[in-house]
Amino acid sequence: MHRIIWLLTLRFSALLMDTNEREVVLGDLEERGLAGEWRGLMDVLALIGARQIPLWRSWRPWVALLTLSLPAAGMVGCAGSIAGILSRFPWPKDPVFTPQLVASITFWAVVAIILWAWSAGFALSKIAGRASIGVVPIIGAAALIGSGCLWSGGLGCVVAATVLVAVPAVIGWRRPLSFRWAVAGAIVFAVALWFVFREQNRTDYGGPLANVAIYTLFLWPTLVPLAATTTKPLAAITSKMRARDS
Amino acid sequence: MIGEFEYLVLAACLRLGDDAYGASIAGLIEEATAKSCSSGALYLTLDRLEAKGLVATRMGEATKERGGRAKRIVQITGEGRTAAAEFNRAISRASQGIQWEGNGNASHYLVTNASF
Repeated sequence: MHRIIWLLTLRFSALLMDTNEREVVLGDLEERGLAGEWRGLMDVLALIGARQIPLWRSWRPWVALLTLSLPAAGMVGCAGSIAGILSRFPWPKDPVFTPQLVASITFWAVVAIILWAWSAGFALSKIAGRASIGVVPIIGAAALIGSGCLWSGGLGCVVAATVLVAVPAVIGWRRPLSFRWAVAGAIVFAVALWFVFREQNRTDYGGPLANVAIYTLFLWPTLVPLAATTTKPLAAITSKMRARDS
Repeated sequence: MIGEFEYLVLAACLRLGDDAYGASIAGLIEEATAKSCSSGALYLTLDRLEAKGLVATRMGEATKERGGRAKRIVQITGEGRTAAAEFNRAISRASQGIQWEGNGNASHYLVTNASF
């Protein structure tokens, strides 16, 4: 137990604390004999929590929370639907929804969800910064409750939401990709989303105006990696130009 | 005017001198108050005191008993000394005329002169 608590303390502090503060606080715990004790873990968690409060005075976590919760619920709902579709494999023969069409819609939906989740994780880290630690559980809970995954989706929905949404989001949050990958991801996401919506339109779901709103809501996180990766080279070019002019 | 926990931290820093850092300050506060001192409360207070210019902090050396981890060394400034002294005087003035009975427990005191 002692070892598990210490490992948890190390993991939480590595994920959520500044390097210097982590060094100092863990050193203090070791010196005071609190390493691996519940009190030590609670100390670290309380400090992390206290550090979150001033971050929420900024607009950033609120914007991330308000603009990501709804699409996240949509994506979790889609992940649940995919789990449902996959559980009914092999698909029955149907004149409209042929097994090939179902397979291609499912494939593009999976691609869209993964790319969106990665982009959303990246967007969250860029917009909310360190406050994203507090934003993530709220968005996660909102997505699970809002999508109905918790009470009607079953285990399949939770697993699909974890694999297709949570894992790519964490990867996007922790490891930003290069400009090339950001462009490729945004293009593939737009194509995948367009394909899924086109197929949905064939079944008369929503209208063009609703789709534009949904597109905007869903597409914005994919623009953040693009913006982040393009502003760096642009800043380098403009600083070089300024240096040359002076 | 500083708060009571801020005073405790400043007083601990004054007593510890060059050896004032997180664990030693927490140890001294726990010894003085007989209550646990959390890292969160201590480091948030140190940040606040540093922002007010009452202490200065820097990263110190790593030691074996800390698992090879560095310390955050705390040094009290001139303003910090003044603020601690003012707080101490205020407490002394506020406590004038009170005779404490027994072991100093707040529930066992006798007010002999309540006029300030």
